[in-house]
Amino acid sequence: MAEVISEVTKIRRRVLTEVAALIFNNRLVEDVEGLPKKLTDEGLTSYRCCQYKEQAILQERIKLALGIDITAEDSKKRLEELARNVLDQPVARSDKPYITLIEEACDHCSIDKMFVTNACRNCVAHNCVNSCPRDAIKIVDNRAFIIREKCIECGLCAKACSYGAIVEIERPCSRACAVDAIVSGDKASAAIEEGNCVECGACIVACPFGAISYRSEIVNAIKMLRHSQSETVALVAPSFIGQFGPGVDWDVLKEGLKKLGFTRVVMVAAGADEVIREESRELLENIEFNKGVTFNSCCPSFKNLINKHYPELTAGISTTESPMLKTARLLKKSGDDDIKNIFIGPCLAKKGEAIRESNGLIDGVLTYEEIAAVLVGAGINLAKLGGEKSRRDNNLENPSIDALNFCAAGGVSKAILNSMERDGLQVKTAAGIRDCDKLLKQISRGVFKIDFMEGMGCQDGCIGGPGTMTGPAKAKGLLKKMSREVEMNV
Amino acid sequence: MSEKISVEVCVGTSCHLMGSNLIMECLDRLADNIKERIDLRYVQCMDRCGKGPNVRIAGVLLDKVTPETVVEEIKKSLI
Repeated sequence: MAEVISEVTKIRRRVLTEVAALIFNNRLVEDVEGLPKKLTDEGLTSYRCCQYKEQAILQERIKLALGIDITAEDSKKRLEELARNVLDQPVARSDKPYITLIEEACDHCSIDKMFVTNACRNCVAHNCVNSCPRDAIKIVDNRAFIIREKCIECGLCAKACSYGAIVEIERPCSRACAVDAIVSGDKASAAIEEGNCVECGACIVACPFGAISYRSEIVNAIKMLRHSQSETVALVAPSFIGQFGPGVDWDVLKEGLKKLGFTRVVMVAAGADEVIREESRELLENIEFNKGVTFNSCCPSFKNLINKHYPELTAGISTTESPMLKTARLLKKSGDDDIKNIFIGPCLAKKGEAIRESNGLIDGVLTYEEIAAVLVGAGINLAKLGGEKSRRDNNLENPSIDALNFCAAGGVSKAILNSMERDGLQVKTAAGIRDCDKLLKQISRGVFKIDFMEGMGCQDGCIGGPGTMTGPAKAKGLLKKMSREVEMNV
Repeated sequence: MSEKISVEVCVGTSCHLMGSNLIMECLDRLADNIKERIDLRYVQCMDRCGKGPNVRIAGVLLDKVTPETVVEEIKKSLI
């Protein structure tokens, strides 16, 4: 999803970086109030009617960077007070959804799907009027007029018009959402229907006004890194390859994260190896007992999709823990507070998974852009590091090629097939919530029988996640290269 | 054969966060006859963090660039 880095993305990242820098410089409480003005003065944003509106929106973005739930009533306080609270209070994480709407930033774009443009010439044929099955088009003031109460948004008029004068528009957020989780809220703004949302983050990427964003966990992470008496471990997702710019390989990233204060840096792909073994065993068992299709459990968005929209299929979700949780379990036992585990990856849904399923195994989840903002805030430039090769931790830094490829669409099913060494397995894969939804619908209706379905919430798999910084095409190439290198070394 | 112009792209973490990889990708897509007249280098930092992505084209530092502005500047410098 990092194929294009829009102005909206830049603003979000800049705010994260500024907040991180203020914390590292011990100036957060003192300077946060002036941050919106500083940023507008520098010309970061100048799209709205006036700079006061820009600043009001920036305030909300800063609150999200601070990890504050902006839907809560007490988020209306001054930034200074909110900043003091988040710094003083012990690290507490709420199960409130991380993806959230910034009401002020929403442009209330049209919710009427069929739209007559100026290209309408009030022609003689009136194909639009004739094509409408509900008699919803009249000619008013020499122009086609759609009667909203009658329109069923079928789109036939748009197809019928010889001039293409009627267009079909949809809010970008709701078009991007494959599960109808974007609804029309109060005051005609968009709203997120929690019951339907699978936390894939597609709406965040889609909204050109940056009105949908996510609650960050950088403050908690920085606090753990700076004040924790215990060990703080970075659990880095397999998709890290190429995410931090040219030359930043595993050794450099590890050096940078250690400089930041992590006492240990490990690869989540190591946990993926265990997942491959366990999930394969489970699949074999399910086939033997004729239990029907098995679904991968590593993608939290895909899991959300089944749980919320296909409850009849939930029994098929593999009970194997995700690579994140497996790796965390290798590091600490449940309830063991001496180690702080921070997962670093491309995913927003992992934030929810960590709260719902980790039983305290995961203490924080950061996206690649969040950790990069923290690094920059701390004055660490990865491009300048990389003196020497570090010693690899044998258990947690030497995953198999199959485990490394977990992050690309098709990688999980390939790994399972490789490990099963069994002919005739019926496997299907889908990437992106829309495709997953289509396939699940067919499975649910019994259109075909398969043994295993790999579902990925993001197109291209994790390397296309909303928290990535490098486009999936580039990441895929680097992943291939790395796999070859691992192969040669074996 | 005319002289090459130098194009330096900052790949520091701050610039990377602001999209320096898009600049590299757009340079990758340039036509061959332009590409062969460019001396491309990656730079660790240009000391303008916060104004990224930064590039230096024929010695001139440009901040907050986009792929479009970079291509435009390169073409101007080559004339």
